[in-house]
Parts: sequence; C-alpha cells; structure tokens
Amino acid sequence: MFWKNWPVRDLITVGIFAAIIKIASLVVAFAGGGMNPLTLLLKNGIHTTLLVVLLYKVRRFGTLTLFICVSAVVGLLLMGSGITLLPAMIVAGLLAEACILLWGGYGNALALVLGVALFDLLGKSLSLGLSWVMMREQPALLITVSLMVAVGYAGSVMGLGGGVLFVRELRHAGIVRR
Amino acid sequence: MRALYVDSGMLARSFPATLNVRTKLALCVLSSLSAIVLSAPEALGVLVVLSAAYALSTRNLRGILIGYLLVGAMLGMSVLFIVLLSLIWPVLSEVEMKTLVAPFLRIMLMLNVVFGLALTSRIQSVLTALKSLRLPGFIYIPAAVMIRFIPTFASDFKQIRQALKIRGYPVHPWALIRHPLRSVRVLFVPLVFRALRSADDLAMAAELKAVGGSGGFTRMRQESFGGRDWAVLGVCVAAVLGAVLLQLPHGFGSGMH
Repeated sequence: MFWKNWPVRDLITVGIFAAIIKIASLVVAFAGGGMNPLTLLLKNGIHTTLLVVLLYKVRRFGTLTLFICVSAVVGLLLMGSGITLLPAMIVAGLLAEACILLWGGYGNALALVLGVALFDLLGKSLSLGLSWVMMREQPALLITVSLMVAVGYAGSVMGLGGGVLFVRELRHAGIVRR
Repeated sequence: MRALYVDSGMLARSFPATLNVRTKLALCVLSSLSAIVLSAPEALGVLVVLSAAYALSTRNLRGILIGYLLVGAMLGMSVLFIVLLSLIWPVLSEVEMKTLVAPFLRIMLMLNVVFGLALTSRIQSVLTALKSLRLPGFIYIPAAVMIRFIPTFASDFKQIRQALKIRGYPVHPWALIRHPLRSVRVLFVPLVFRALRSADDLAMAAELKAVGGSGGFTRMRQESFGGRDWAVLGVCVAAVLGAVLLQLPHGFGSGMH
C-alpha cells in the first residue's frame, strides 16, 4: 500500500499542521466568538493558508486525505467533533487530489492552490448537503447556515492568497525549499 | 525537544498521571461519544461535574480556570453576535439562544478530559496506546504528534507573547479583534515558523528512535493496566449510563451535531 512508503518526516508534518489548524481555529473562535462574520473570515482564511503551506511542504498524493483522517481521529478522541462529516470530507479530499494530479501534479503551484480551493468548496457543499438532510424541516435555519458558510468560503478564498505569500516567506527562511 | 509537562513537579504526582494512557484515551472517547449523543443540559451537566473533578486532580488550577474563562468569553461573543444578527434575521434568535447551553457543556466536558490526557501523558505512552488500538502507522504517528504538540504550542505561544510584549505589541483578545491583520502578522506567522521548526526537530527525533520502523520495540517503561484504571473506567461507564437515563425523557434526535 502506498501509505507505507511515506517517510516519518512527512507524517509528522501532517500531524503538526493538523494540530496548528485545530488550535488556530479554536483560538480565533475564542477571540471573536463562533457567529462573528469577521471570525468566520479569519478562521477559514487561516485554514486554507495553512493547507496551502502543508501541500507545498508535503507534495504527495494523499496529503489532504491523510490530513482529514488524522483530524477526524483526534477530533473524535479529544473534541467530540462530528464524525458524521468524515465520509463527505474524505470524498472532497480525494476529488481535490485527483484534480491536482489532472491540473499538473504536486509540482505545479497553481494546481495546489486550486486544489485547496476545490477541496474547501466541495467540503463545505457536501457538509451543507448533509445539513439539509438533517435539518430539512427548518429551511430558515439552513438558509442562515448557508449564508455563514458563504462568508466562511470568502475567507477561504482570501486565505489562498495568504498561503502563497506565506510560502514565499518560508522560502526566504529556507523552511520550504521547492 | 522540550519535555512534556508531566515531567514537571506537581503534575507528575497528580492523579491522572498515575493512570494508564489507554484509560485516559478511553475517557476521551467516552466523553466524545457522550458529547455527540447527549443534548439535555442535566445529562451533560452530570458528566461535566465529574470531568471537572478529574481535571482538577491534575492540580493545574490556573490553566483550568484560564480554559474555562476562554470558553465563557467565546460563548459570550457568540451570544453578542447572535443578538446582533437576530436584529436582521429574527428566526436566528428563536433557534440559537435556547440551544447554547448544550454546546457550552459539551466544550467544558471535552476541555476537562483533554486537560487530563494532554498535561499528564508522555508522548511515548500515547504512541504505544495508539499503536495498541491497531491503528495503521500513517494514522497513529500524526495523531500522536498532534496530541504531543499541544504543550509545545502553548510554550511557543508564551514565548512569542513575551517577545511581543517586549516590543510593545498588546496581546489580548481585544487587540486581536481591533487589528486582525496585524495579529496574524506578529502572532500567527511566528507561531507557524516555530511549528515548522518543531516538525523538523520531531522528525529527527522520530528517525533516531526508529519510529515507523517495522521491527519490534523494547519499552523502557512497562505501562500496566491496574485496579485503579478499572475503577476509573467503571465510574465513567456508570456516569455515562446515568447521563443516558437522564437523556431518555428528552429523546436522542437532536443530540447529533
């Protein structure tokens, strides 16, 4: 199985990024509250920024999917977060990674950025679809949630630019070499 | 690499430090499942009281109080913005305000059990416990690193905050809200830089310890599953059953989140 060929260094980087993304989201939520539009923008922006950096650092097929699986396992162990979304997120991750391969592979910077944008869009859309199944009796609530998700996605798109800038800084520091 | 907090004085002698890591992980899983299934405040309340006693037994009163204050502040901000949004969208106030207690209790429950695990466990014990769950290496290594990284992240944050104070930058929630871009630049960027350096250090340490290798390991410390662990698990299962009984009159439909 191709997972066995992963060096421990890359597995550790995925774990560290999963932790940073979880903690950064919590810190931003603590600072600004969950229903604050500014918080939503910032939280999603940081999320995609870090995902872009992760893909630059670990350029392998399966990085996004592994990141999702690890976050889900630790989320279930430590935070009781919704395991119900896991299948949808894995589908989103695999589709995004297939698209990255189609758009030029992990060596292509634009493909990485577009892949993260697609992953976030698919993840959010599939989650909203699942929410519709769960809350179809309350369409007003779903519309509100959709608006919040749309605000969040705007933050994600801004985060893509942030990710590229971040990688540039990391190259200056010699932390990202390619 | 910096040592885990378990090696520092009082915490090493605390009650959760004497428990097997598998017991602490089992408490986390039970609490997670309870947080997913339960929604009645009285059912969650019982578990929160018990988990608070468990968290307090780590003897890190200051850290726990800060955690509680942060959760309270986060929910306070959420309420404020719900009130503001309900002026534009009245249906939001009907739905959200009455369902705010259960999420708060869920967060408190998970915060308490995570304190017990993260602040009193050695990374090697967590690795061994995750491996004993028969999880594949590509899942358990990043998962263990993720848990191990919590104290390192807290230490990095403290150092960066001190550096910012010396340079005259205010580091408190209000400053984060007032200047979000500046906060990202002076706080978040250095944190990621340090995290990436930690990743390199951890990777080197892991390679030297042959983590991920296929051979068998000889453990320095043999962790036994004793009577104390069975007793704690028994109390925990009884408490969850009690909470389920309290949940029964309310039904289980609205508990999923």
